Amino acid sequence: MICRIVERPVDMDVLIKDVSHDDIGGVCTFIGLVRNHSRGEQVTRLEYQAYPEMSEKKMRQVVAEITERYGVDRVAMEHRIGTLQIGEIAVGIAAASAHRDASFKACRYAIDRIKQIVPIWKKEFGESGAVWVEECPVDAETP
Amino acid sequence: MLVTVKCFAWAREVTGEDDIELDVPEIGTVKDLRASLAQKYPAFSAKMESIAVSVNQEFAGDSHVVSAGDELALIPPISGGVA
Repeated sequence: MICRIVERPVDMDVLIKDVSHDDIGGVCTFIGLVRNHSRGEQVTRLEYQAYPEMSEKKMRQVVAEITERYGVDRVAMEHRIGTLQIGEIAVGIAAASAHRDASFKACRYAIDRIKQIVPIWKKEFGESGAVWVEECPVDAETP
Repeated sequence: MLVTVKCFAWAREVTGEDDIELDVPEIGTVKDLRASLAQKYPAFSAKMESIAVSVNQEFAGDSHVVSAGDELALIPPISGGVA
């Protein structure tokens, strides 16, 4: 299954095809878009940066957690980095299962978990300058 | 020993480098690495609690031993978002 950081537009068709199979009855997708406002301010563009190798490793961990929780292993995801304009896709996810309920749960878990443990940062450019969005300090898993 | 540490986002802007070198003891830990970081770049001191450290692409606690050849990185808070 696709788990990757890309520097070109996210292609949802590719993700959907990646998870589709004869034994699949439902595919749930999530698309994260660049929004034109944040915390009451206009946003003109976003710059995404990633630690690509660790991001892809952590994306695979997210899929493994989904498989353990929901029995769903057909999950594909791409996160774009670089400069993105308003309305462009920043992150795309497709999750597939035999029956729809598990695919909805898998997709929801995927986006929430990506935002917790996948090292990707975004810098918002707006009226009052540029700022790194820091919403989720990572708790180190103490050995 | 000198170790190379990857910097991202805010940390990259503070250091001005994609990779920095820090001096840590031979059988040093992530805690030693943090001390070395704060000494070389005082701007980190006030934000140290929000910066995670990864060792070989896994988040590592302060007691984690740092060895020569480890892939190390400073991980500022990731961007999250409102659910």
